[in-house]
Amino acid sequence: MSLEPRAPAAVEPASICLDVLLSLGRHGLTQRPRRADLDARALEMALTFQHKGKPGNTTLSCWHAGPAEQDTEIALRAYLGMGLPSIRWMHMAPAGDALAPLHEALRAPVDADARLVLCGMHAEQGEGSGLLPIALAERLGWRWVPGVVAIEAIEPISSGVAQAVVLQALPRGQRRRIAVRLPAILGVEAAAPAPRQSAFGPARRGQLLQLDSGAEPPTDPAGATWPFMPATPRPKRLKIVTSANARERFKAAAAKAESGSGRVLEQVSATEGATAILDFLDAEGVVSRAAVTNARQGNGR
Amino acid sequence: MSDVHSTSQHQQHAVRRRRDPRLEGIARNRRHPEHLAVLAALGQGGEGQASWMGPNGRMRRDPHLVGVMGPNGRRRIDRSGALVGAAGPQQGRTATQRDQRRDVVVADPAGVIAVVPDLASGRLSEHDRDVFGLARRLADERADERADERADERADDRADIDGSSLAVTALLLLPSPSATLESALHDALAEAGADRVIVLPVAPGYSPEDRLAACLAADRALSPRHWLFPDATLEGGDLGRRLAVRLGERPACGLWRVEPDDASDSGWSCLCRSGSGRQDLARPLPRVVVAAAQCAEPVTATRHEAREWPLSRTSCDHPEAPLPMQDLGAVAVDPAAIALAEAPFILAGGNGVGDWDGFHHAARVLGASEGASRVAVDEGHMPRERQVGATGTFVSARVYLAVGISGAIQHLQGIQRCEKVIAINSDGGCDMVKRADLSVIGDGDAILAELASLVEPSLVEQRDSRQQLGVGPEASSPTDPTESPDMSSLLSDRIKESRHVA
Repeated sequence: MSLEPRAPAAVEPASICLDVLLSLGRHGLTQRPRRADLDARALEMALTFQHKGKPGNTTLSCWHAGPAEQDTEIALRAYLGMGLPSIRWMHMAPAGDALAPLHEALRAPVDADARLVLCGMHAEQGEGSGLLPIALAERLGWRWVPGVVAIEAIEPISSGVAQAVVLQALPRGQRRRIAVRLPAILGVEAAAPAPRQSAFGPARRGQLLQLDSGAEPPTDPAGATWPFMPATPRPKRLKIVTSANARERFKAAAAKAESGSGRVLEQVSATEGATAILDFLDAEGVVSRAAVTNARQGNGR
Repeated sequence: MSDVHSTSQHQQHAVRRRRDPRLEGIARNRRHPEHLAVLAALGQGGEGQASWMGPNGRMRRDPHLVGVMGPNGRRRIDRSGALVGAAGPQQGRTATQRDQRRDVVVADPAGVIAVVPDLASGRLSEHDRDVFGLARRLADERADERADERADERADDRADIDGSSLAVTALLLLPSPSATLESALHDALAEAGADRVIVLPVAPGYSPEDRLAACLAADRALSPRHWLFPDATLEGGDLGRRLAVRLGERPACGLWRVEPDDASDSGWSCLCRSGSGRQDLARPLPRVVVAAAQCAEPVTATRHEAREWPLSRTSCDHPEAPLPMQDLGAVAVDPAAIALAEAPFILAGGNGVGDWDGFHHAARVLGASEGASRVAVDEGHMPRERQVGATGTFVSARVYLAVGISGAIQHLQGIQRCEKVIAINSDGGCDMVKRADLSVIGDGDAILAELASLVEPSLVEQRDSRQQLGVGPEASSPTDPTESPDMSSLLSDRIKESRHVA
């Protein structure tokens, strides 16, 4: 996507620490374990940023908190196949809450000028409510930025304080530029660049560093009492005509697509037609008439 | 005839009417000169009586006496009653358009359900209305039970509906310089189901922390029973989750169904769709709810008060501390790179386009994303991923400008969700013209060229040269030396505004 480029950052912080939180994914049809799509995009964003900056400037560490189950290693190795040397895997009980170990891991001070955590907007398995990064940011006292599609720059603003300039995805394909003070957690959106392919060799060679999360983390109280069930298809909304009499209900049921409400210009010159269209576009706010007329005047001078 | 109505001489036959075979014979004989008079006397119609109770207990109607003369001189019977007594179809239409909504006033609410609508582009969206519908369900459906409980507690038999119902309160977070409630928005809120409206000023631009602070202030002042947010990634969804985390609640995210449940504390249970969309989670309804689209039916039968409730932010009015997040503004996006499904403005070409270079030029000048009909794609004028319609992309543009597309049903399906459609076509009778809000009948190529030349002046060249040079919006570089720099920056700002209407 071609965007207005931003002037490159004058100075980069001496050292940047990027953390990526990775969760497990599952293919929608085959149910095979794989990397979670949004987390893979977050990792892709981190890898791209690391590659773009000065060599050795950025340290990248990836975290996963979860129980050791049959599919976990397969899914985590898919991330390693993107070119990671290692992933730190904090073991947890199956019903454990990932918030506590991740908080412990990120709370430890790091010798870096700028610190940034990346993750997907929501997980692909389990509740997937997207609450974890917000709760994590709240506990750590860091900033939380949702809907990120690109990191443009990380720049120091004063001694010991850095800011990141990121692009946020708005509806209708629009983008917004935001500067956020670090440390911060960025939630990566599905509109972010697609992750690179996972290669088999690096996936085999990469290391899963198994960490003991120390004290047993508190279990998620909800998991035991709130049942998960396969998603039932949501009923389609019917066109309900709440009318007292049968005539209107019949008319609504038998109605064809509305027609005849529009304005039709027949036997007009091309200029008249174009002017009418331009007025319409202006009224809808798609093309600004004022800008056009101003430009004409400016051009005519 | 006179003895028909005379009372019986015997007391035990007082309720029984004496039969008169002669009169019954006249009533059956339509040709009898006294037929109508006898019918009227027997209470069986005649003499202008349109309906009467028949002998078997069924209502009988005289079809000659109901209905009105239609416009073509034939008698029309309209059982809805809309046309009865009407002179023509005009009055019938006004009768059907009459507002039949019931006005509801909650004078003394027992509690508050707070709804924070997104107000994308300053209006209530469909999603917002659904969330208001959900709030109305939560407020109204169990109100009768609560009223009974209260009546039991007070041990008097008068159940006070007002005192037991919850007020659905819309919390509007409007940018601070002009944080006032417009009358159009007020009416929309009243129709959506808001009993009360609170307007809180927040910092302009993207400021989630400030919006959160406003919600927290409202929470302290009102302590709502429920907080409802529409689950949109950046706006309501994010704010709701932040608020829940700050309040120490576990929100119901992606909620799509709510059912009464006596076992849970809140009296409701809900179903939430998981992040992957493959699982549902059943749980009691919590205090903070982030609801998916179509979580409930929007309000249609009632109109509410939407009375403005004065509430001021005291503790957290614009802290002087440096902002943790700074909105650097919208970024110009190349319209050709926006996915067709979510493009806001599409220029689509079909079989009637002859000059494809002119078409591309017009799209570039207008800042529109390009689309095409199946015919144009099949002939190789446009790539397949630009095809609009049943076999291509279903688009949701705000404005869809169709040039030389006659409107096959598959194509019309594809543009069903577009708000406004403009058609340029040489055939005035085609289906696209019927669908369009504005149609211009004429040569598509000529009109497009004219449209492009109307918009085109230096402005657009300037923007393009800027993009090629890679100069950011901060550093304005006028390409035209005769133009003053302030003018050009002003223009570029304007055109940026015009491009980035969400």
